[in-house]
Amino acid sequence: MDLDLGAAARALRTRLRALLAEELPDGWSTSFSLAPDVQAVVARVCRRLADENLLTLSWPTEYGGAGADLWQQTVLREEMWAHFEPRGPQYMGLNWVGPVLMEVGTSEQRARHLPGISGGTAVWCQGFSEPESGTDLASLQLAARRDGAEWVLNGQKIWTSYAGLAQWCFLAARTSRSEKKHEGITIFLVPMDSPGINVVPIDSMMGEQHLNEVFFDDVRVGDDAVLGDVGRGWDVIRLVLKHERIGIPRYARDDRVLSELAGHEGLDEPAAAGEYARTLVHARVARLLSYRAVALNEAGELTDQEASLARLASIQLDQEVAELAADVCGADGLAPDPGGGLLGHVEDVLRYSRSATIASGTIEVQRLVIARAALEGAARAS
Amino acid sequence: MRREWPQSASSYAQTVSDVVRSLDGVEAARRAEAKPGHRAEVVRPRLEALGALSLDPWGDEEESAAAALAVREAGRAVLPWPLVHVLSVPPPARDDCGGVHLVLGKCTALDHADVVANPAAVDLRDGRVFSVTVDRHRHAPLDPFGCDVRLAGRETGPPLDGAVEMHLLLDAFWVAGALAEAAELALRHARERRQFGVPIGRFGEIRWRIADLLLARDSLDELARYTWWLMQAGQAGRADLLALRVQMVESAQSVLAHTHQILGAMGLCEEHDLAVIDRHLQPVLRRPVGRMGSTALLTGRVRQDGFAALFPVPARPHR
Repeated sequence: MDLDLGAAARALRTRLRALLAEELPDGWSTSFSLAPDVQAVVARVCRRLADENLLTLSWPTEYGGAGADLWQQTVLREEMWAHFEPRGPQYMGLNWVGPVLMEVGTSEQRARHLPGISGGTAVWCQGFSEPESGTDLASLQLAARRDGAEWVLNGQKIWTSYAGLAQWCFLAARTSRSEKKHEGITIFLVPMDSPGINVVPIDSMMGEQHLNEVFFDDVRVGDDAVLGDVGRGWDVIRLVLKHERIGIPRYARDDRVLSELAGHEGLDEPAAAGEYARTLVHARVARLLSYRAVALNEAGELTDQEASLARLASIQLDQEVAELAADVCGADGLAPDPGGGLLGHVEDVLRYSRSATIASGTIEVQRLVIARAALEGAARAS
Repeated sequence: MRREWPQSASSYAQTVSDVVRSLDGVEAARRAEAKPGHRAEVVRPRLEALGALSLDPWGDEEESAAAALAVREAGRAVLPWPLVHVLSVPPPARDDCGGVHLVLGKCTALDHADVVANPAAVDLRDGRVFSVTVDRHRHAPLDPFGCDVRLAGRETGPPLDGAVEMHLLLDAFWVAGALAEAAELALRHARERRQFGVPIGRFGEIRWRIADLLLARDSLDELARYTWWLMQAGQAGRADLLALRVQMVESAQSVLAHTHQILGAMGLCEEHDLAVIDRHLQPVLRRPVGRMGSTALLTGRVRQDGFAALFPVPARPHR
């Protein structure tokens, strides 16, 4: 047994930390902003990562990637998340839009879209959720109607991150009605500057660009916008979900917060110090459960149970750490302190943590997935 | 990364599992509780025949893994023999000390102290070693093999270096085994027990409990595996082992609470294995200290030594 991530992964972590130390301004805490200075940092980091062949680290070499192993990919995701995702919206293009295009896109679609993603210049948003279709995604209603050689899109998407910045939308629409709701869905790659698209930001406690509404009013696209087969969009969505299966390595930023918190005078209080020690254990466990999922994925043996257990540990940790940090920092931490280092952003960490158990599959769904898999496994074993 | 246990260790664990099954699993604990002599007369010889009592958990990867997994298999049935206490004695000291107990300050009772020769106790905080004199059995439901004892400072005797760390590690494997068994009992019940015309595992509330207990079970499993690996690599510090103990106690509290709730009144009955597993686990969860005491020890150790993580926690001098 050897639980070390390996020399290549270790070296990559060191390299990324040095790179980020050079590129990120003091007090960097978000990429979810239209502010020019924030987007300038995102563009600079992406360009540097692209220049060093780190942006598409996980992509196969035939698509200009580095063909890195899963452990190097894990390190990249950890370091980016720990440093408030300085790739901004690019993580979507890199983590799943590009890979899904490689799997099911036409050669024209790949040629058109992959260079923008690998160069860190094209911004994508995900058009999945609708006002009446959240966890029950397959019930989506945004309509795509055939009109001659074109498709006409009408309906609404919601909770769409980065919609105000995106040039492209990875859109799930209903092209036919069927008794089975998973059928009749089609994926479209839609230019966000198409006439008829209207983005309305939603003010939220998470900050700008996290949540938007996107309205489609007689938006016209051609057949070249269809990804995969018409009516088989659910298969594509499953591919997307497969790429996001293990989830965000939230434990990485949590580890960073806990490390910063170590010197805080609030931990002189024995009760706080005890809670802090317990949280350190939980952070280690969340990381190990995530590593288990990566290892099983590497071996082609990852099940829904282990993937969702890793997510469950990680999302709960995120809220535990945020609460702990906010409690230790006290009322002084309720306002941002740009000069206060990482702990100057505790209020941001707390606000953002509220979404951990909601985004990308609620905690309730994760629990149901785990239990269903376990009960089915027990049935098979008996 | 290679997560797999050595094949030879897994095979050995299967052999231990077969022997535990031949002793009727949890039934052996019931028998020993009714007749304490069952431990030395029946259980010990079976473990001895397997070579389980002479394994060296400090040995090479294969033997050390075999020891850890053997403890886990025995823990599944809360097997009535102090396997952890025995294996935590460094091999060079075993001729003079049959088992080692962890204590913290004042101690009046220890489990299974009556069945090993020349038991010793080591203080978790300062490493002081004591000889143990057994007075009598306690006959307490939550301390089924507890004995009233007297400790006396030991002037001579073999060194027990590393015994505390190994005890903390192996305790976690023992508890991990017991929790795995409890989880299986709950899953089986959730599939088979029908209420309102359907298996109770169909209900969301039961499914949530299943998810949470599996998370607690797997959290301990993964941390135990990781800590064992650190120990093998010579990198396990006291903070790592105390972190494992904290997780062990928390996982046990979660798994036992959820499994009892899923099994309902049935799980409280002595004829059900869950009741026995729960009662027989209590000594290892409380002795030498439970969740709060273990957390306090970890807190002090993190302050003193720091804690390894992606972003390490630095040691912090007292202000």
